[in-house]
Amino acid sequence: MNKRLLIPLLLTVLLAGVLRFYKVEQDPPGLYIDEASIGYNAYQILKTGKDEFGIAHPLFFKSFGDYKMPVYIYSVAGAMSVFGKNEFAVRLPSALAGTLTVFLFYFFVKKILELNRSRSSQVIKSYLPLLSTFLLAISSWHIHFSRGGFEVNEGMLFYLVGVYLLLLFWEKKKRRFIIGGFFALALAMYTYHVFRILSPMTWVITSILFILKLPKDRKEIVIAGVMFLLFLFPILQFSFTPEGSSRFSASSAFSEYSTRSAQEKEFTFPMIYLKNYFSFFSLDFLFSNGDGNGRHQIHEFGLLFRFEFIFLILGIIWIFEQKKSFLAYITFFLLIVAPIPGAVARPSPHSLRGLILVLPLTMITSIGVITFLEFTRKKIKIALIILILIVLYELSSYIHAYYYHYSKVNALDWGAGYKGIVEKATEKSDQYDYLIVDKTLSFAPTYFLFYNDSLKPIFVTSDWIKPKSWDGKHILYIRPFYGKRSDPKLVNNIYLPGNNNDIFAQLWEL
Amino acid sequence: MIKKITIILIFFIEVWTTRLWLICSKFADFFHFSYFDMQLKIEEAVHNDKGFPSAIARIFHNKIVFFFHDTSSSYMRFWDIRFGAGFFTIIGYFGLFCGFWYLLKSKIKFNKLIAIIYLLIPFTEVFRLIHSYQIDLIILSFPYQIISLYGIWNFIQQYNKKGLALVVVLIILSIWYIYALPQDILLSCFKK
Repeated sequence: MNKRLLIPLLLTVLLAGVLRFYKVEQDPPGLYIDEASIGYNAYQILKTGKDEFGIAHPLFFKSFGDYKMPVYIYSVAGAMSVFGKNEFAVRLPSALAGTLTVFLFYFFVKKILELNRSRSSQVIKSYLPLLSTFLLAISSWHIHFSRGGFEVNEGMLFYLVGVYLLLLFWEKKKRRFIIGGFFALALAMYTYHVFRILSPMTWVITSILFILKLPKDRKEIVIAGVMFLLFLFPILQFSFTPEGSSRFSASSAFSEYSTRSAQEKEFTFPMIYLKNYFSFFSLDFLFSNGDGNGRHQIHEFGLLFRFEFIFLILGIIWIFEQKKSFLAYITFFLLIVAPIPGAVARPSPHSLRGLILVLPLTMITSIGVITFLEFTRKKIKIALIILILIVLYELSSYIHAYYYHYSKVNALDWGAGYKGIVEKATEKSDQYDYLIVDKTLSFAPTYFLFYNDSLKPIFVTSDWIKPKSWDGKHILYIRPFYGKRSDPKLVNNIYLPGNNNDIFAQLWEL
Repeated sequence: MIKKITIILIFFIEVWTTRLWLICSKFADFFHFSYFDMQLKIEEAVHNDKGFPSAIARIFHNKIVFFFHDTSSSYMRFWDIRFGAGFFTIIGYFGLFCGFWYLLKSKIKFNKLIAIIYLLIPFTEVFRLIHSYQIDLIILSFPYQIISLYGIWNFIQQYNKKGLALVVVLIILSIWYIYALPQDILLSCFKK
């Protein structure tokens, strides 16, 4: 590796680490419901070797009936063994995977350029890997999903490792690379649902390509393929059970049309899929509003920075002008396959299921930046200064919005408030005989399990009335805020983060 | 001859699709810039900055930045592929990209200026410069139909049979899409 580029690369990775780890335990504010469930299952695995339902070392975690993939949960268990049961441990594997993805991305892009036999400018060859790495390091899309306990982020790292090792096999024809590559793809499958489609698809496409282009290495390709099928077998078997397909059934894009006739379905479904697929390339989704889910991006920010738009266009033009370019092929391959799994589900587009799009889009944007700088080379200093100022402004604006606005505006999306409930209930539990929780606080059971599973609250419906037999007993009743801010029987208000003094829930003495 | 018939067919499909939009009375609000809305957003942003140095907060939350954000959001909605597939049709949308590509590559006089004018047309809707929906519809569809036909013509001239085959597939998809999801138009406009 060029020593001149080593320090900038390390600085870029350091920046990526800071952006992904700084205050990760408190921003985003609170664990969202899936994180709490992952955290509790990981803790149970660590302590008892069983999940919350008492199943020993499961390969698929029932959780809320969505049957979570195992790798992230076991990673969190590992993190908890060092850092204990807390928010940091739940998010550590994702933040670490995000930082490592940035690091690996440099070598991935570099390898593609090394394998690129078509003529591309020296500037592209010299600067594209580092620039791509830098843009991924500051990518708001990638930062956002690295800072939450999202399994997809770890899955993307394994997927990238897999594709990178397959590139190495293409170059060096060593058996260990193809076996390692397919193993990493299989690992991605056991990390997040989208890779249950992406990984096998990548395996099929690369296997066909290798068999056609590398006839001398067919034996290695077949052996590695058989091993991949063996890895695939448990998940394949599971996918055909009602539990395995539950995730698909629950989030299928077609489920809302289930009442239509078979003929209507055949006519409509392909177009729904097509619409969903294209929606991942919607400019509004990419640059303005994201997918609208408060947990998936900051309000008023898209997934990509607005300055990237013009460079994305320039990058696309550059790629279309290339002939037989390996760089263009790989970029387009990733661009085309990335939305395929996400388009099957609703809502669509979905920034979490489409996260892998960030890789090709970052590569294209980087090519666009280099093309732009080449284009303005007579006044490159001015162009560079303007570009740096714009990037700094957008990045600092994003950081400001993330640390000062996001926790206030999107507190509810992240289940902020539930931790406060459990902490207060724990503090007061000695003084009361019964702890009653209104079921309107629908996620409360999971948060009680995660933050303090020794408390045994009774969950009741909103119309619950205290039984007469409980007269004389001390009861702590927790319910959502219904409008009364003070009362002699009011024990505590649980506030949401922000400047409005919004009350999330209240603790009452009955 | 078959190429000319294809172009005429695409023209009819595009015009027919535009006619479908006559069920509406105006485009949805997300295409329009609203000064009032922008002010509310600034106020909300500043409110969330309580305790933060106001001079720095001003750098991030001011009318210039929010104006740029809001207008670019509305503008990008116009190029949204979900809107485009129902408004220009899938083949029309493909033709638009080809049209811009061939226009910029061509030796037509003022080609870049023409491209820029094309890119600016949606601002008539973003700033609501025209108050008649029917005229809006013509302004936002007719010029793009021309450039899209220009693009497809050049595409099938360059790629001959392969190009023609792709165009035929896209024509089928366009008609299929409009028939399968007719209600999608109403996601981007208000019904009469």
